[in-house]
Amino acid sequence: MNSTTDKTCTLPSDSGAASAERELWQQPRADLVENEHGFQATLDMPGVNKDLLSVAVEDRILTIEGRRKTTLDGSTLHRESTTAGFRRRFTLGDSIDVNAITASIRNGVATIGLPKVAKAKPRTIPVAG
Amino acid sequence: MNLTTKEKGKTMKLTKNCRPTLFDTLGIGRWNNFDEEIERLFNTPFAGMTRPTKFFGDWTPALDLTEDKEHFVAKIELPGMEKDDIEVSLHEGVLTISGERKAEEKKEDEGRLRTERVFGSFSRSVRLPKPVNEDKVVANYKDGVLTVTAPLMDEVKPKQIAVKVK
Repeated sequence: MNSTTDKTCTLPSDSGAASAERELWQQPRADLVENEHGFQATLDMPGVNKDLLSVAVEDRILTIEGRRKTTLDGSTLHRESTTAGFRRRFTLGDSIDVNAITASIRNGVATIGLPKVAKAKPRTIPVAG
Repeated sequence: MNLTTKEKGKTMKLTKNCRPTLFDTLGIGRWNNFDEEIERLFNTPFAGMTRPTKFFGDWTPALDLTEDKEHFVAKIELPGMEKDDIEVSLHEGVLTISGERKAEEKKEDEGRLRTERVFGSFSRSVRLPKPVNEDKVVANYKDGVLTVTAPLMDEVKPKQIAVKVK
C-alpha cells in the first residue's frame, strides 16, 4: 500500500451559501499493520457508526468515508471538534485481493481488512527425497 | 555572570551563560511559587478550556461544551475506548473526564507499517459556568463519543414571565 492521495480540508472563508455545496473532510488517524495473510487498517473516526461509514474501491483506490453530525445543539460555549467528516484514501498494490476486503466499525474505530491474493502469500515448498 | 579566581600569577575567568529558560518564556519567572502560577492559570476566564498539550496526559481529546435551557452538554471524542476505562467526576462545579486508552497488543507476526493513532492516558477539565444538579448528571458513551449531560439548577434556568395586560 502506498501513499494517501487526499489533502486535508481547508475551512471556507466565505459565507454559508457557498460552503454548503463543498463538503469538508479531514483525514482520520490510521494505523496500518501487515502480516502474511494481508493488511489491516484501523482508523479513528469518533461519532461514526455503521450507517455513516462508507468503504469503496475503484480502480485500486480505496476510499473510506465517515460522515457525522457536525452541528451542536443548544448554544456553543466552547468547541474543539471540527465540522468536517472523515475521509482517507489509499492506493492498493497488486498484492491485495479487492474482492475480499472487509470493513467493520466499533466505538468510532473502523477496521478494514485487506487480504492478500493467494500468490502473494509466502508459500513453503516441501522438499522431496 | 563572571567569576574570577586568582591563582599564582594566573587569572581564570568563569562565565555562566544565562539563556532564557522555559520559565522566562512563559512569563512566570523561575523564582515564582509554582502553585500560585497554576492557580492563576485556572482562575482567568475560560482558562480551563484551553487544550494543554501533554500536560495532564499523553493525548488531549477534543471537547465541546454547549448549553440549552435545561442542561450543559459536554461532548468529548474518545474513539476506541471501553466505557470502564473512562472516569467522569464533578467537583465544585468542575467537570473532569479522564481515563486511559489501552494500546492493542502487538502480535508477533505483524509488521507495523504506519502508526498515527494516539493511546495512553488523558484528562480534560472544564468549569461549568452555572451551578448544576450534581446528582442528576448522566454520561453516555456511544460510537466513540462521550456525552455528559448536566441539568441546571432550577434557580438558574431561564424563566418565562407571563405578561399581564390590565
